[in-house]
Amino acid sequence: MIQVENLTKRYGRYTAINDVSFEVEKGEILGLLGPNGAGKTTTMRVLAGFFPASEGRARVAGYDVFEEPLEVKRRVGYLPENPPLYTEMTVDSFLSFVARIKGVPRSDLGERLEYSKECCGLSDNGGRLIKHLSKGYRQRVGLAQALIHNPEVLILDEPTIGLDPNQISEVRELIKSLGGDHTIILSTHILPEVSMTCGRVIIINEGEIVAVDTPENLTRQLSGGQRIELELAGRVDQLPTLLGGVSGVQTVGSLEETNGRIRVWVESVPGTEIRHLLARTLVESGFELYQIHAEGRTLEEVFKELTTKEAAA
Amino acid sequence: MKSAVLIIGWQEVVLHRRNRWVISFSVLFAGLTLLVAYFGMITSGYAGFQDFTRTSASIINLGGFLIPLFALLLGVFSFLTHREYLEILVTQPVSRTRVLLGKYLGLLFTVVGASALGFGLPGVIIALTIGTEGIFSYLAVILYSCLLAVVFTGLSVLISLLARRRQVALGIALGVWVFFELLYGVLMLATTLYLSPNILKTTLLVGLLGNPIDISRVLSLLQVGGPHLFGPAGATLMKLTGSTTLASLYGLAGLMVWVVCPLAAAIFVFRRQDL
Ligand SMILES: Nc1ncnc2c1ncn2[C@@H]1O[C@H](COP(=O)(O)OP(=O)(O)O)[C@@H](O)[C@H]1O
Ligand SMILES: [Mg+2]
Repeated sequence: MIQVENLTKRYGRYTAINDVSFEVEKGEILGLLGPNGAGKTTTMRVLAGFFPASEGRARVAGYDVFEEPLEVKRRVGYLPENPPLYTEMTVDSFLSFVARIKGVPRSDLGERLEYSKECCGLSDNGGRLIKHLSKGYRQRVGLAQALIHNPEVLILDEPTIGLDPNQISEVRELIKSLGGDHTIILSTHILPEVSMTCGRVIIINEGEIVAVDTPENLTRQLSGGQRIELELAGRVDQLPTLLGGVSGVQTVGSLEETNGRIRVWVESVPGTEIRHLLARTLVESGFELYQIHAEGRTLEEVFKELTTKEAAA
Repeated sequence: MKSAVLIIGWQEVVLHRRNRWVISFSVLFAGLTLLVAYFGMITSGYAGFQDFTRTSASIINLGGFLIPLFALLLGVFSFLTHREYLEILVTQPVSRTRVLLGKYLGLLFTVVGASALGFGLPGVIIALTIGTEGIFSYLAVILYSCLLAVVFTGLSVLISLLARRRQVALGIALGVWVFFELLYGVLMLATTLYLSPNILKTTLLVGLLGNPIDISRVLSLLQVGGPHLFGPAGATLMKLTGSTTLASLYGLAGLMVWVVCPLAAAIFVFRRQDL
C-alpha cells in the first residue's frame, strides 16, 4: 500500500532524513519510533504531500506521491503533529469544511460527518467551538478530520502527544480499531505506544532507519539486554560455566569453534555494562581474548533515550 | 474541484468576519470619510455635508492612504498568524495554486468589503441628507479605491510568502507602503528635475504606471475633478490620449498589471516553496 524508496529530505544543507526505504502492507499498522528530531514528522509530511523530498520515490495507494499528489491526497488522511485546527469554528463546521475541500459529495456529507464523529467519540460535541475543547478532544477532531473522506491510508503524526493517560488509551483503542480497514502509519517517541498499537515498527534515529521489526521482537531484544560477541582461544569445556558465572550475564549462546578460535555470544541483564567484567574474568582464567563486541549499540542507545523520555513524560 | 477555491476563500471570509481589526478599520474608515465629507469645506467657512462631487474629491487621498495600508497589514497578519493552518490546507487534495487562490480571494473579499463599507456607509448618509447628485463620481472613486485594495492584497500575499516571518513581513509591508505613499513621489520629482523636456513626458507616464496609488488617484481625478486637479502625470496623460476615456483605459490597464503580477509571482513562489 505504501512503498518508500531511498527517500532523502534536506532543509537547506541539513539532512533531516537520509535514504529511508520501507514498505507498508494493506491493513497494517506501522509505527515510526524515534526520539525527537529523528525525522518522523519530515517522513510523514513527504508522504502526506506537504512538501516534496529532495531525493527518492514514494508511492501511496498505487500513486506516486510526487507525480500524482492529488490522487495520493484523495486516499490519505493526515493528522499533523499538534493538528492546526480552525479554533474559531465549531467541530461540525470545521469537519464539513474539510470534507468539502476533500471533495466528499454533498449527499454523503451528513453520513460521513456522523461516522467520523462517532468513531472519534465526538458525537455530542458537534456544536462546540474548537477553542473550547480540551487538548484530547482537539486531537480527536484532528483524527476525525483525517477520517472524514474514508481514506485508504491514515498518516498520524504523534497521535497521542499531550494527552492524559485516559485519553491516550482511548486514542490507541481507536487507532487499533481502524487498522485492517485502513492502512496506518503512526509516529511516536514512546516505546510502549508501538507495542500496544502497531504490528510492525521502524526505529528511526537521526534521519536513518536503525531497525525494522515486530514490537515483540524489539521488546525481546531490549529485555534480553545487550548481546555481546566474543572471540577467544582457550579451553572450551570450561567456558560456559565461566561465562555464566560473570555477574550480569543472563544467557550464554552456543559455542562455535573454527581454527582454534572460539566464537560465542552472551546476553547481559538490561542496563548493565559487563564487557570489562567479561574481559577480566577471561584473561584471569587464562583465555586469550581477541575480540569483544557489543551488538546493536545504536539500537540500544535509541531505546535508552526512548525509555527515559517515556519515564520523564 | 473548481469549488475548492471558493470553499477555501469563503472560509477565510468567515474567519475574518469577526476579526476586530477588520471591523475597527471599517468603522474608522467610515468615520474619517464622514468627517471629511462634513468638515471638508471648513476653511471656506462652511460646515455640513457636501454633495457627492465635492466629497469624492476630498476622499480620494483618504482612500489612497488608508486602503493600501489596511490591505498590506491584514494580508500579512492573516497569512502569517496562522501559518500552521496551511498544513491542513496543503495536504488536502487541492493543488497549491488553488489553495493560494482561495486564500487570496477570501482576503480580497474581506479587504474590498471593508473598504466598500468604509466608503459606502457615509455614501448612504450623504445620499439621504443631500441627495444623489454626483453619485457616479463617488462610485467611481469607490471602484478605483477597491482596485487599489486588490493590488495591495496581492502584494501582501507575495510579501508574506517571501518574508515567511511575521515581523519581517510587517517591516517590508510598511516599507512598501511608505515607499509608494511618500518616497516614490519624491524620487519622481527629483528625477524630473534633471530631465530634458522631451523625455519628461515619457518619464512621467512610465512613472505614473510604476505606482498603483498614483494610478488609482489619477483615475479617480479623471472622473471627479477638473483638469487643474490632474497633477503633472494626469495632465500629460490627458494630453497624450486626448480623452478621459482613453486616459482611464490606459490607467486601468496599468492597474491590471499591478493586480496580476504580484499574484502570479505569489503563485510561482508558493508552488515551489517548502513551507
Ligand atoms: N522546516 C524545517 N527547517 C529546517 N529544519 C527542520 C525543519 N523541520 C524539521 N527540521 C529539522 O529536521 C530534523 C527532523 O525533524 P522532524 O522530522 O520534525 O523530527 P521528529 O518528528 O522525529 O521529531 C530535526 O533536527 C529538525 O530540527
Ligand atoms: Mg515530529
